[in-house]
Amino acid sequence: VNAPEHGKVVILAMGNRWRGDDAIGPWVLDRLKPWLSGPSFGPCTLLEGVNDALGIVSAWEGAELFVAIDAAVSGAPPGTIHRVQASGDVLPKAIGRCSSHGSGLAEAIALGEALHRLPAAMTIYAVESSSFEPGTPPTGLVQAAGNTLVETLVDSVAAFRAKECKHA
Amino acid sequence: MTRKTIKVDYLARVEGEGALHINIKGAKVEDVRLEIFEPPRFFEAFLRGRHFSEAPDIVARICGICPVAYQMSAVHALENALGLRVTGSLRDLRRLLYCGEWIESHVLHIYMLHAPDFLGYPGAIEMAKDHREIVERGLKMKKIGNELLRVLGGRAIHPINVKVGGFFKSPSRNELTSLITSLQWARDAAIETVRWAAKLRFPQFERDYEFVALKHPDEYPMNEGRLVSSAGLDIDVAAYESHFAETHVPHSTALHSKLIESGSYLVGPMARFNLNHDHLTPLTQQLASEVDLTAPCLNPFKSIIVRSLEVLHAFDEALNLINAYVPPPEPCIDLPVKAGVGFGCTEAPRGLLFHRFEIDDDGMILDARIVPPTSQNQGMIEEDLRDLVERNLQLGDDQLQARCEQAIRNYDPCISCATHFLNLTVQRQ
Repeated sequence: VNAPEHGKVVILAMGNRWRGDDAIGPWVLDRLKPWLSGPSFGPCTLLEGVNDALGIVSAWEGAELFVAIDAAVSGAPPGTIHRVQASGDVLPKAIGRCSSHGSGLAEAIALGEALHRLPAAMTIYAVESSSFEPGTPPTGLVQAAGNTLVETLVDSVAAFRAKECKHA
Repeated sequence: MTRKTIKVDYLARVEGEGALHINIKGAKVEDVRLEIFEPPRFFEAFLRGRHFSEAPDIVARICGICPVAYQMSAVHALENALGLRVTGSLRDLRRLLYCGEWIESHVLHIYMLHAPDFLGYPGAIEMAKDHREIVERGLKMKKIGNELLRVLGGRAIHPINVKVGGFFKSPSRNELTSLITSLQWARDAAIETVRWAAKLRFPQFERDYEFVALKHPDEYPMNEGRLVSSAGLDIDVAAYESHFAETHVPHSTALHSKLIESGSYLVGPMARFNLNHDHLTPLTQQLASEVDLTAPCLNPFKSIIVRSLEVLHAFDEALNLINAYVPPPEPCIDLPVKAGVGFGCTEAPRGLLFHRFEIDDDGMILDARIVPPTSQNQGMIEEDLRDLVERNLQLGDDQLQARCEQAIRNYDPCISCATHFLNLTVQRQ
């Protein structure tokens, strides 16, 4: 039930399903689906495969809450969950991809800001990764972090909805 | 004698990764090298030993920007090998799908990659801060192109609904007519895009190109036609390999294509326009006339106007196709499998895309050859740069570098297709 008083929540899983820890976004999304498809969570759009800046700006159109999940390599211990409360220029440029073949999340945020089209709230979760072996699932530590993320996201959406009700 | 070096490590706003190196000695350009250093991707080898029915999904992965072009050239080549011809509504659906790809690819290039060059911005994000409405218009137009791809192809990137003989599922009339309102808005936006693009400031630069494109007797070319050139070439697609040759050059992992008899040639929107302008829709021809763009257009910087005309054409054509659409009785025609060799050439957004397949009696692919448009334009890009630099030696290094980058982007090169980013090095000695 898409209750009209509910704002739109968009959760975007980035990364490649077939490249080890890079699959953590889709891996989390698969486990979120049964939780967030219930009516009590209101309209939640779960997306995968949108990795370019223009696609991301379109994906969060109309969203009150936008969450992106991706793999990260920063030198932290594998399985570390990085949480970025993204708005404007807080996202480090280094998160962007070096290829011009597609621009990524950092460019999407910069473009969204230039166009005044950023979602009201935006959080990026990135799981520190260690293996990107083709055809393999995420490694144990990254899967464990994924399970934590599933719980975190269910709680976050529930809290977001509760806040909406309070303000209604 | 003055020798000089200008070096730029990364040239942005092209599809893929590579480098450019220019040596200048006095008033002469000694060397121009479009260095494509991405490793070869071996798609032709991946295809060998696979069943022909897998080819459309494999080749779609060559490019996230123009997967439809690869799918279309593949299915036409394979149908040619099987002795099949797809007609009627299925043919129209393929043309409609191609309209979607031209729209999303051209609009991305016009608004996000090329326009910043003309308006003096380092990129689209900086441009968007001052030209919000223009960028918003481009984004909305691209989204409508993506929607066409989604409805027909199953998804906007790497469509999954194309198969040899037709489609896995054909859309209902309602699925297509539901797009009409947004397509009508987009067609008006495309008219405004043509008028806006025509008012940009263009460097004075013309060259005597040999243009090569498909030519169809009744329509602006997308999926079918004979291979023609502005110098008189007029051949069947099957004769492609008798007239065009690929050579390896040490500085590029992408092969260079040449016309055996005449050398470098130009494919893409300018070639299509110059050889087929009379088959643009009447509305598109009217706009070309309004903005004084006549064939032959020999200034490659004006390719942004030609692309905007092709976007208008694609929206107009899409509306015509949808209005006339009658769902086919079956989404795909029967495929009698037999051994054979087939050839296919279609017009990717960046230009001619040639495929040849050889299959055996069981439909297994024995051999595959793919010649993407950027491979074909590499030689002409280098010739443009040589000429452009020699004519603009009075410019400062930064200006010259910017002009060179803009000239490369005239071609909307997809280096990823040709193998895949670009560093730019200009040496003045």
